[in-house]
Amino acid sequence: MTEKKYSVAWSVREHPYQLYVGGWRKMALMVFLLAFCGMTASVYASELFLSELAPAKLASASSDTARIEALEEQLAQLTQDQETQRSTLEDLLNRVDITGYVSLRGGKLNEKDFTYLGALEDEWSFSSETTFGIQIKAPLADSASVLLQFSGDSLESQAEVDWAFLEYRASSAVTVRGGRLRVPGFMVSEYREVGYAYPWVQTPLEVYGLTPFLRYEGLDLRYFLTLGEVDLRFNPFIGSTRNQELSVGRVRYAEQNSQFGGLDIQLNYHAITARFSYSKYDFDIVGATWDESMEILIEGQEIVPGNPPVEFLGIVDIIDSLVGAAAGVALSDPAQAAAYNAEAASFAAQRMNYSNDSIMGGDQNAEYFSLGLSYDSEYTLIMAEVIKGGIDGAFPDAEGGYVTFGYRFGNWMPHLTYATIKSTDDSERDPLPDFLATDALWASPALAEVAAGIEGVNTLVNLVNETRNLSSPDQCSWTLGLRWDPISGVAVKVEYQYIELRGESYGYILPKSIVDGSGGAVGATGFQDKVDNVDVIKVSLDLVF
Amino acid sequence: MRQQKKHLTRLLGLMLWFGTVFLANYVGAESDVSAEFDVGTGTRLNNELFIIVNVNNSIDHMSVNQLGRIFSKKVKKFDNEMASLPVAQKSSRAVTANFNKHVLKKNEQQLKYYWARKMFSGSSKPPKSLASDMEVIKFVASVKNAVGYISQKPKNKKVKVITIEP
Repeated sequence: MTEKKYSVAWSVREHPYQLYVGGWRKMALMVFLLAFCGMTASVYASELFLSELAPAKLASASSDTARIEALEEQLAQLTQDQETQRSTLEDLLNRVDITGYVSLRGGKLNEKDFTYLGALEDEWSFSSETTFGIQIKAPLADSASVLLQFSGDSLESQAEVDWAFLEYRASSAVTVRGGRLRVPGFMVSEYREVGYAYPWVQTPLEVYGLTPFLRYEGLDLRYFLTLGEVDLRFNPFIGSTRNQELSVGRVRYAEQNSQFGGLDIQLNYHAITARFSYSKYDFDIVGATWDESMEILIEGQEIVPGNPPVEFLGIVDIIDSLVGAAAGVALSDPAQAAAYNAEAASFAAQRMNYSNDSIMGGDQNAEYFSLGLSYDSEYTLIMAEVIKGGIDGAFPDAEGGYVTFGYRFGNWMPHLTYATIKSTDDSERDPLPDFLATDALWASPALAEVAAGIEGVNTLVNLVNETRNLSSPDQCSWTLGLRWDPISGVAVKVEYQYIELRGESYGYILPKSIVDGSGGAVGATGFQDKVDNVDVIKVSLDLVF
Repeated sequence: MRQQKKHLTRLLGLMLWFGTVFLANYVGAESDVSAEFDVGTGTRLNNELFIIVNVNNSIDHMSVNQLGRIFSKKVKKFDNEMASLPVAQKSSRAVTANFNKHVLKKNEQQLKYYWARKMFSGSSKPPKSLASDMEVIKFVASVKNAVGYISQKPKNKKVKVITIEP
């Protein structure tokens, strides 16, 4: 019972996410594409006919001179029209835009054996948070275009598709997009990986860490409305995901299929932008490694089948044998025998306390609200966001927020950020009660094995409780940073972050062993102690082209 | 308690650094601003910067803010409901720096930052930029929805200068 190594709960992303297009969605996309091809063709055809019909007007001219003049005028008009059309066409053809970004990020934290969500460690590293991508936007017709964006990061072995949609502009106020889209809602949710596009090295995890996933397949509609000097954008969206991983930071909890919808409203007035969003999800969560780990710890597992099988003993297994041991202590003194019988009954009663009611898998609902505000003038930058929400079950629901102040001195911008997150559903991950025993009954050296069993139960209980704690973020952080734009399209950033992990929470600073699954730090006494605060230094070089 | 003290010292250090950077740059930034804004925005706009539209466009004036919104693609039409197609000039041109400063209130880097956010959110891209006043005039003359900026009064009859109000 003593030398056990658990590979608990989570592992870093293992399966690069594969684009899923199939069944009815593929059909819908095809139909969409065909419809657009048809429309484009008809637009060009009608323009062609119109220009050929125009000379018919000539018939009405009375005299020869008038006819010639009219002809010449018509010719000039035609030539001009043609030129205009040609230049607009060339314009269209020339405007397949290719843009891209690279964000090289590095950093370290000051605590050994801990990681910043599996990304940064106590030694300088430049590979774990680096991202890059390329975007291609091509017009299909005057009112339709296609946009593709591929991205990669240092932990993925293959590129992901961020965007792959067809956009149709129904009018100057309404556009419809269909295909692979990014989940909207936060101030920078569409370009979280593009470091150049925000002041920090990374988006504040206290808000951005809560989102369940980034990309989906679906449809959205964007309606633009201008009221005086206020520009509004209403963006309802609906879609689904399949076999996407469900992770917070780099820590993978499970895989999920989902269907969801929501509304994102953005308002812009001079330098002020406000954004509000609500979304609702139906998840089908599969392969929740969390549930498996909890089950193993509580109910045990057969490691090698056989007769007898090699088993990992869970909490209830050990309690069962303790009940047997307590009942089996044969004594002639009736009072003592009664005491051991009572102890056996107490053990059996306590067994009921240990069941896994903290579940992640299966059908889960989720709901998120977010509100963002920014003031981005010539010199001053203020950004603030709050988010509330989460997935039902053992996943953390939380309230998070941040405020950033920045001031531009030409191409230098120092900025200061305060961010906080606190889980609101700790009751979904209530700690298991300690296993109680009457120590005096088990003090005799002859019963040392039973005493060890009791200690073993408590070790496992502790391990379950600490694992549950890992999913109850409660942290705040101060970030002081400097962004420098030496030339257009290049940003260099340096940041110092001080993170405070409140109460029992590990926040987003997890023991390295948990993240990499080695289990090294999980000894007989459970997890290594959490730290109360961490200093992090981050640097980045961000490019767009 | 000691722990708390450590936090306070650290925070104080950060604020000091922040303050130093702020002060060190403040003087430079301040003088820069006053030099650029000696000439009133309105005066500069209608004498050194000319905003032109196609002669068939009914619009004859707009506010500097509205012009900025059209060039930032925050609005995609003129006040007369006609779709707008802004056309810029190359970033190396003096007239562009002038326009960016007084209409968009951004320098080249800030403008790039703005467009990076737009483009990577799958939304609009920056206006096409042409090489010279001549090219802008030619473009605006042939495209009904176009609007552009140039540094000299145009002679072409197919474009017209509109008044920009502060």
